[in-house]
Amino acid sequence: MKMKVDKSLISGSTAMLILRLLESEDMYGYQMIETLDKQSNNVFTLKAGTLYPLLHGLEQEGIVKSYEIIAENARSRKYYSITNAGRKLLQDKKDEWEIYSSAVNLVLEG
Amino acid sequence: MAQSIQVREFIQTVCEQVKAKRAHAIITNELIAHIEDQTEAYMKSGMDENSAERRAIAQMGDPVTVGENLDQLHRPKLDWIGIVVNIVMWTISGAVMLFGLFLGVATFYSLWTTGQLVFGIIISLGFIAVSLIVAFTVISMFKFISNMLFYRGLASDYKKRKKRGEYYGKY
Repeated sequence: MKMKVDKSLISGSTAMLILRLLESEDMYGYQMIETLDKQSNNVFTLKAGTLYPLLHGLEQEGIVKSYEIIAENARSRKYYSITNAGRKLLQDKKDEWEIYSSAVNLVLEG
Repeated sequence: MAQSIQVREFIQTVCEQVKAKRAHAIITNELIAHIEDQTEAYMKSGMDENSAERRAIAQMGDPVTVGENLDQLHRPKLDWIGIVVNIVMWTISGAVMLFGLFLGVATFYSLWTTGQLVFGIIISLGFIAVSLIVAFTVISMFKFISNMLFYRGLASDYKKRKKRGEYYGKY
């Protein structure tokens, strides 16, 4: 059964999740949405209209880099890769999340 | 691959929100590639091409919102040509007015030689050009004024509201 999660909970960590995907391999936009959807058990179904502005913003800040690859069917795809600054940001975000989620659990279980 | 009308319309609406024209090609290519991938996926799951494409486009979200988000990121560079043209035109206008003033004073007082008159005009032109350069640099720092420098901000805002069905009144 697919559970619906409050959108505001999702949007805050979207950048972190995207960077985590790119940490393992370079991906293009559609691929990121598919992978995220699968790995999160359909909880995170990111819209393209949200993803691309996010990616372009990250690229402008030097968090990710992009390059184009032309496939055999002449289709040109823009791949994104994480930069060193991006890896550092991801680590910071992971630490942040660790603190946040632990605190929530503490209160819920307390 | 030729694009269908619905895809082209979607992309067009998105790009209309993006003032920086040089970003249009990049955005167009990336979004079309995405819609193609999504359409293919839907077709693999059994849809016919037309419905698959329509569903793929709907999956992208509202084109105006998408375009607005992209517009905030891809800021257009300052319109240097426009600024230079403005400086030149204002300087010329100022020169013409000053020339008339000097001529009037010179005639009235018979005080100036031609050489002094020409020198005075050149110095004044220099002052006008320098002060205009300073003024435009300062003004350009205020976004809403610099948008008016090339007038696109107002026009695209109108198109945006018209698309959303908000009646903007006589423009």
